[in-house]
Amino acid sequence: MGAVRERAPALVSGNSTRLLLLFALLPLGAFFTVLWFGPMFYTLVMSFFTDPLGSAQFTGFGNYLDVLTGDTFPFYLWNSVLFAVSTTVLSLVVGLGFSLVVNEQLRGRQGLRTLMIVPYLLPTVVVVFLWTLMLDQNLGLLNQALVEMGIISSPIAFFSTPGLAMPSVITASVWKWGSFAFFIILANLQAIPDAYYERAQVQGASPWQQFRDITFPNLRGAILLILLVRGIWMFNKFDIIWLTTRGGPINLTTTLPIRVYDLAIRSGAFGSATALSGIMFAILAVTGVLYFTVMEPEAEVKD
Amino acid sequence: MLSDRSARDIWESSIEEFNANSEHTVEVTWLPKGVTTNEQIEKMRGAGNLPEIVFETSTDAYRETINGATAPVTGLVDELNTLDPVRYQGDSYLLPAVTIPLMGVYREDIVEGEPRTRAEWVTEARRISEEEGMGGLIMPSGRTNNATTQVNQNLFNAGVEIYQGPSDDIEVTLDQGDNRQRAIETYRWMKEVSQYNPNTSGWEWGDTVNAFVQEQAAAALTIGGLIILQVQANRPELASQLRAMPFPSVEGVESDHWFAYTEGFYLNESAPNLDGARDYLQFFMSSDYYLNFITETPLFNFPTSLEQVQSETYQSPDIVGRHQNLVDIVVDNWENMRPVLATADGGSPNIVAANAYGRQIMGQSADQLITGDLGPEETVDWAAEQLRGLEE
Repeated sequence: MGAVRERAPALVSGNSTRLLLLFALLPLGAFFTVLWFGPMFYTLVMSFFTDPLGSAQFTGFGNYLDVLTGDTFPFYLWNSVLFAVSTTVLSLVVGLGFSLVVNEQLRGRQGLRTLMIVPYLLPTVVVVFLWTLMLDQNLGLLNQALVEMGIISSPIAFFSTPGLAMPSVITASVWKWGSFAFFIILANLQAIPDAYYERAQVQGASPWQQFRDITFPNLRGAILLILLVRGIWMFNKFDIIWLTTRGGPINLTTTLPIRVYDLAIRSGAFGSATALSGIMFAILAVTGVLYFTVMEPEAEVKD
Repeated sequence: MLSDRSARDIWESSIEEFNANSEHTVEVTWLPKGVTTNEQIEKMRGAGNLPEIVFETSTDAYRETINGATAPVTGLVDELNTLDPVRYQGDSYLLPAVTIPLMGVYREDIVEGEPRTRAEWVTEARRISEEEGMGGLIMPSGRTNNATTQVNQNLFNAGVEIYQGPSDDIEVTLDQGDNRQRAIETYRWMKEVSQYNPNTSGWEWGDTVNAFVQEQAAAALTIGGLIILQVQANRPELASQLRAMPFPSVEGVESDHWFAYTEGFYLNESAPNLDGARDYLQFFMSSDYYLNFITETPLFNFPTSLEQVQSETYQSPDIVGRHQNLVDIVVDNWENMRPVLATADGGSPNIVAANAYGRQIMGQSADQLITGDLGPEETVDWAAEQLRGLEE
């Protein structure tokens, strides 16, 4: 507090430090105003009009009510939650599993660590191409292998069969983004002092007890970070779903971002599309507040 | 001029010759990759640089026309005797340059007995599936142009009038009177045929081509000679076995609507030099450049006048000679060739059909039927409800 009290008069007095600070913040402020707040405000305004790009008419919360009371909104919301939660949790499990392996003194762990970065570095379109090549009904390597081995009699349309489409997209997504969790957890694992484990071993703790009482508590912050960041990203994910299934079959992989695109670009309903974007933002904002309230990730920092 | 076409060397040569011999000067803007024509037009409009000529689909040209943004090309359409897909209040607003009719293709060495009717195709598809170990007649579904065009054509072939009324008062009649029963029978047939095929939900044209290249299908309904050209490029030994056919017919029904994609030139009404634009279009469409452009992809792109389809230039490429029956089918049915847009009374433009096509509602209806759990009757109801949602 003392430092603040001493510093404040200098800033208020308009000295060169203050000017420098202002100059340093100006580009950042301009950047956020033009590229962030501007479009957000514009989108928000559009959501209160019917036909906002044509003969716009103010409708208040009409677009929001239409979207929320529509028959399909709960279905698309469920698809979004299913996709976001599944991919986030599975990415976490995969990342945790591989990082625990790589953290051990095993042969080949350097190679495995290098391999893990590859999916993350590949552009999504390349990942989709690879998975299509593996799972495609006509050209898919997996189908050809399964047919040749006699496991299936005819090729399976993984991306267009109702029960398989969503799991297939989730699998491709986890493959692509699992390494995000891997590297964060690995970095945290390597920061746990060996002395903790040595002392536990001296006291006769089993590997499971070491994981439960030492590893997991030390990874809590990283896991919470992954859940929040990856969860938001996956809730907003558009590219991999669009490129693999375009939201089909029969809308079974249509998530809210796909629906926004559908409304705006295919149907020209920009009012409804921007309202749905606003609803998505509200859902994520509420989730974020709940996350910080219930999970208390800042407790990690305090500790 | 704004264009997204291929064969740019041909276009640029034509412009060079025109500019050298005319008081007008044409400059072309090629559509950047990843940008739609509509987006580019809006940018050019904002910059005060609206092009006189735009290469577009008949559907988008009609949208621009009813918004009052286009200038007539009636004289050119009459003089060149082309198809006339965007006729609005007595004038023509699109000079069509390319038409791509829907067409069936089958493997002559697999399919037996030249099936033509729906009933014959069900029988043959079953036999092929059971005896040859491949799909019989591909029946796509989902939010794709592939599925959407096919459902429309199958309904047309059954004599279903999906819409009725003049351009400014379109009524959806898919589920009314005889149309309803014919539509139900059509969906029932589609469901039956689909049993003898791979799961085709979400299949675009390229997936159908892949199925042919991989020898997983014996017949498919597609656009122009796309499959023939692609199989020729990838499996030339199979290409000679391919034969064109019309969409399966319904006994006792003579359809007068053969779905043909149509694209061409429209003029921006507010652009400054429309006389110069008309001069260039007249020059290009009457020159060898035009047919050279069309024959870059023969069997796929067709010219928009019967005379040019029958011309020696169009029929000269080797591949046309090897698949003459495809061209013969187009010539024999020329009078029925028109886009999905032409479904208002008297074949005049129908904005509801254009919007339904853009949203691929008919393809989705096939998905509800084949991939989902709706029966044929429920599918008709579902499609009609979706179409009514588009009525303006």
